[in-house]
Amino acid sequence: MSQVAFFFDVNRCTGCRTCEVACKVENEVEVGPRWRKVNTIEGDQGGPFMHHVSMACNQCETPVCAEACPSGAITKRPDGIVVVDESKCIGARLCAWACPYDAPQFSADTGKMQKCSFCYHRIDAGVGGPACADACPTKALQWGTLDKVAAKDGATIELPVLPDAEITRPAIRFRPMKSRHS
Amino acid sequence: MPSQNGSGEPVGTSRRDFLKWSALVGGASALGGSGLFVSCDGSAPGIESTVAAAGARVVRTANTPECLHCALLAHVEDGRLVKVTGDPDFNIMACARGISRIRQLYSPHRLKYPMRRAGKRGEDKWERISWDEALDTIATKYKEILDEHGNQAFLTFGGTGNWSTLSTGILGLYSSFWNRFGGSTKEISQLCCASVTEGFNAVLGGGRSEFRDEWVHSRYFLAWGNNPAVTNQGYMKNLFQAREDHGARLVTVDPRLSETAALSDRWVQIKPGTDSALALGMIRVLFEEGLFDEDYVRRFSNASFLVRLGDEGYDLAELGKTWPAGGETLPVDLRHLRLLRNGDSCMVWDASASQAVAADTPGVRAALTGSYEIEGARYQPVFEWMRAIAARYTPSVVEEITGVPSDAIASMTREYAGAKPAAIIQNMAGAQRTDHGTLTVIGHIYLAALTGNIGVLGGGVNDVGGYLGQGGRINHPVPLQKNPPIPGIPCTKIGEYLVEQKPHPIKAIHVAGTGLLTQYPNTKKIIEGLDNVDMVVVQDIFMTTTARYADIVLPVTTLFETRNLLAGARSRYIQLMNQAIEPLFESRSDRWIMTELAKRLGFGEAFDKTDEELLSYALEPTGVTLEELEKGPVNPLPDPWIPFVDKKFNTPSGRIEFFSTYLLDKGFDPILEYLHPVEAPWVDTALAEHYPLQLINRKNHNHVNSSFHHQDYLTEIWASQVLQIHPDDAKSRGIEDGARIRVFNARGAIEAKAHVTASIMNGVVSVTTGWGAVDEKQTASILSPDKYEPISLGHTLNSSMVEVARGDTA
Repeated sequence: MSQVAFFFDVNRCTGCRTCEVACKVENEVEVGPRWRKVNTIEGDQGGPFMHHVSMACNQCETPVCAEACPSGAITKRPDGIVVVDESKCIGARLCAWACPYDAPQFSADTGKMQKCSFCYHRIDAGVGGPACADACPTKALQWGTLDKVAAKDGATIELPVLPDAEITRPAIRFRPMKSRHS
Repeated sequence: MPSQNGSGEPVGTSRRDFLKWSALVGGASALGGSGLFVSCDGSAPGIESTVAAAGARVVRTANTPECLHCALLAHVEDGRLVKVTGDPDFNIMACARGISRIRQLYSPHRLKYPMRRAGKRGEDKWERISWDEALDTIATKYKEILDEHGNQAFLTFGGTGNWSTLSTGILGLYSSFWNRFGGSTKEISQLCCASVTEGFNAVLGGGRSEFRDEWVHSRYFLAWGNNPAVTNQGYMKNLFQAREDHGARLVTVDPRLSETAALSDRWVQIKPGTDSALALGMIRVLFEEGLFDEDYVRRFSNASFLVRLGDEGYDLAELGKTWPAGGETLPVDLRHLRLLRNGDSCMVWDASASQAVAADTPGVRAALTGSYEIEGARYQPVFEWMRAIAARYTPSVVEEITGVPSDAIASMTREYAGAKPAAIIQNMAGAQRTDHGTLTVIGHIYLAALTGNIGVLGGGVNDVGGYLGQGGRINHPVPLQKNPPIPGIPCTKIGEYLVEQKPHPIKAIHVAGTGLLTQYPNTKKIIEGLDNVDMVVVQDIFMTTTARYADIVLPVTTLFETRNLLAGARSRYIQLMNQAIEPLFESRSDRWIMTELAKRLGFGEAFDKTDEELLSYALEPTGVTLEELEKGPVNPLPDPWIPFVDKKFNTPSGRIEFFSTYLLDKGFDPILEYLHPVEAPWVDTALAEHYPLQLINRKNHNHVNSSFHHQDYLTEIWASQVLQIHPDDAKSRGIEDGARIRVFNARGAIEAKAHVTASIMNGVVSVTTGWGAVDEKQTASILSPDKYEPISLGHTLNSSMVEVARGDTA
């Protein structure tokens, strides 16, 4: 089975957070944990700039969260989706420490970790993909198999603001902001 | 902090030799050049994903506020709403606001039953009462007031919170109610789009122009004083497609690096309220460099019409040279310009015959330039006057007025003129909610018309007409009766008129789905004015700031709990809003409330009908049936849609009127000339000593006007009012990023969190409009001026001055 992956086009993101909220609505996530988060990056590069990057669990090829978990609660499915078995989770939060993307979220309600499941329940039921990508009004956020996502024009695994991709080999590809002059 | 060995260092994790994503994001400003700019070919995305509805039953409905009217799918299981998704078959996808409405429905903060005030107004003390008691009390009091003071003593607001046909929508049931009541005092003009409406009236003879689905054909986008990445986020996919498919450029004119500006090829930073000076600077370049579409201008506009100044005329060629620079007062009064007429015909100069002839003479090649002696008076074509006025807006003059670098003006004009079809995205822009907002819009229309972009696919000035604004019609669900006229109150001056009891005392205020105390300017004055009002009734979903000042509050259903119709005031589509679940608590629909009140007030018969009867009657003029709508949204307009495609305009001349007879008749300059804002630091220098910063209001992705502030999935992300302030302005006031601050002027003070950012112009600060539905201390409208735009009588909230300081208001 092919590894699944996200695709995120910085040029198409308006920062609307529909992905974040679609995730919450689909998975009935309580207020507090944020399985997906849109970060707004501001800075100055010959003038102020601002971009948004939507990020959840990247279903990494090397899931350091699973390696870090002392109770074996985190596993990788054949399709590459990294899942947390809450019945095994002891709330040690070591996964959160290990993950460079802040993907695992601690639930104060359950005392356990939770995170983006790539909406595998939707994929398994054949009713769509991750709710976040399916809801994106501009198709800035998409999903597919990693080989197809990686083959998209301009796709890159690295963004300058992100941790070194070699740490976890995240199953996400980006289309970075096009250089724009004047 | 996780620890297994007591040292605080986790065991078994990878070495923490990387920086966390969150830390990197937080430090991005400090990292300087580490943006996301990487060269990339930007081809179109290829992965298509499908959305299928889970759940036992999927019910079609639509999002009502004054936004994009997205189609929603309500997923229902066992009588309970379990999920809301956007309809993937609709022309755009619903956003975070629409799909988080499930949290509105099930919010613990909903109004659950009718309540009567048990403390002072605004004190938020209440006593639960029954529906019968609430409605009887209101009806009894209304009858008393009616007997003693007449219909004019009622001031009524039906806003955009639930903007649908059986509620407060345009041509909706709420307006039927107050009509059948015999009338009430209404607002004059409106807060949202008064100036864009007047701009279109002035030059194009009215109408609206919306072509967001056609953006895929545009080759150039000029988002002007407007932020479509937020306010039209669903349609941005079309703009992105135009960029990817044929390299369309996106240029944004805005005082701040808005979400749209951030995605643009060029960001033109401009001082608030000076937009029409930039437009005139661009118009000057079009004339100087011959970049205008001469044939189009001659055929479809009145630029060739001959005018004289006063009785004798004016030696424009000579005296025009002595005119002062742009922004300074002209030595002539443009209102003394007169069209040369022969009977009903306006006259143009026929160069081949060397005489004035009727403009519609077949085969005439009307002169755009020159000066002509006709029957002892001197005439010039309108074009010459436009050119003479614009000639004063040289790049250096425009830079001085607007802050836009002089070298940018010519290049952006060349780009705009050279990329047809070109779209100016106006969309009820913040730039038209300024002291001379109508002139801003007229500037946009001038540019579009001069370059031949009106009436072409993907070109023009994009507003938000929807179905109703672009020729569509529906009936009021309950037909109207004829009432004697009642003088109104200017929409920006509600407070002043209530306090001074102008033009007559108001004894009752009835509010449905309106942010009277979070949208209407100089809000503290309105609260003061409520002291003169005997009865305030508010019907809403939540205890909003406005509801807190009511005497009786009535709990209204959300859109999932009732059947309704959304007939496209902001979308081309007509949509049926089906009921998904039974009303929660004791909430009732606006329609039920108005019907029950109508019964008690003696005119209930017209309202006491089935949904089917009311909706079918409303739909009659559309030719669309309920049966069709059951299957999904219907767009009755031609597709693709090209506003003004026949180049016929509802002006007196039938042409685009650069020389606006409409404005002249209203007593204003008939040709575009820039006027400085009234409330601006370089104009009102005395005020600037106390309140030196220009305040502009922005919109975020989390709200529409004052709606959506009670949805926890949104407040989790957007938690409070945030003021954007430039680092220089922040530093001189000792304000650090994230600090609690107060923003104030003579009208009042609000609290906010400071966001110190170079993305806003030095000397300008920005707050989110409409904030404060929950916490009135954060209500931006408290700061908004209650003067009005002279032509449109519209809102001027973006011509406002404030000061900012550390600390809270209390």
